[in-house]
Amino acid sequence: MINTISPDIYERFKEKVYNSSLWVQEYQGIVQKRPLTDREIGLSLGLDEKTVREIRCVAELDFTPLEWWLAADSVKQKRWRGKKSQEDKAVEHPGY
Amino acid sequence: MNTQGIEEQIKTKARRLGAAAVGIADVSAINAYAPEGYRPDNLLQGARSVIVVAGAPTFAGAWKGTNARYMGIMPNFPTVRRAVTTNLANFFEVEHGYEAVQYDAALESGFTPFLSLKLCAEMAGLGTRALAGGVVLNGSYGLLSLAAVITTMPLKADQRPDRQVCPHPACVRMWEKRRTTPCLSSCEALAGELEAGQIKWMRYNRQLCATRCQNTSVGAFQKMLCEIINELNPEKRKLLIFSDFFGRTIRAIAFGSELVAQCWSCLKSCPVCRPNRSAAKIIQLPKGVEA
Repeated sequence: MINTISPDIYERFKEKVYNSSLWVQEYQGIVQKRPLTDREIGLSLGLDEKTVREIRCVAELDFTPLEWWLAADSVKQKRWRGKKSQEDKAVEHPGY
Repeated sequence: MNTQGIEEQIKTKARRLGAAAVGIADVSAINAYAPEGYRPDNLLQGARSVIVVAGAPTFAGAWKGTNARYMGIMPNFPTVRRAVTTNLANFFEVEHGYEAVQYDAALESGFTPFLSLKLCAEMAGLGTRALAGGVVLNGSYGLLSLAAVITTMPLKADQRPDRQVCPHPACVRMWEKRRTTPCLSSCEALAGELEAGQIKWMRYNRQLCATRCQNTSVGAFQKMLCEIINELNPEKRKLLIFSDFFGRTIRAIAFGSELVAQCWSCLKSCPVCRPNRSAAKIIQLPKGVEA
């Protein structure tokens, strides 16, 4: 049996773990605000490093819609030719 | 008799092997930023120096191609960088008796690498961070493809550039008129602001970027597989499995090509990169050194 985390643990911590990770990288000037490592996130949430790593790896894909992957080709191609469209904007991240 | 210092010998060797630019960083300078677990001396105990080698990600012709995918399927320095770093690592171990390892951005887990090559390149004086997702841009060469050798040999580190490569003056003028830059206007994964001709802040959405620059990749395969398994209608399931995208994704994984570096839309119009795309221009040896 593959050793995975329980769905309950994942549901409970996925947003906190994901939002503490490298998925969005912020810089003040050109100095990056360092995101937390799995070990550091674990310390803040009372979880071990391995559990945090599993939650993060699952969340990285879970929070990334399949539509982004499927739309990428046409988005890139239009931009490569210098065109932009409403379709491009449709795949914008909600936070952007 | 070779009268070059060891640092110059290393750089000449790296250039002869195919690197366009070479820089040396001190491990302690990298460790001041990298967290425990993601440092050079986590990859090699007792590491003292990191040699970062760099070259053109693709060919000048690919930048002018009619298909954005050409960037990903026509790599330039990425096809030789492992040979460069392997030869350099052997140089330290065999000729100088120091331990060394080569590293070219393997992932530790998920999308997280063992070590940030961008940080190493920055500390090795190869360039400064850019609005385009924090990539390192070099003032002479523009965008660089990176790899590194980590060694226990103590070396004199290179100086970091004394001025920022990004933003380019043309981008500052564009910002003053339109409140955007070529890179910021090209992709929703990027956000930022200029102030007094400098980067005030910037933000990079790695997950959105990954769907474009790692379009046919392991992540895409996992997402498609999940969709296929959850699809109850056998006809729809067939369409997903036989689709062009899923086929390309499997082919990319099977052949180890078109996995990364598939999108450079943010740098296509970058004024730092545009004049410096030609591999023929940037892969050159210093004066007096024969290939």
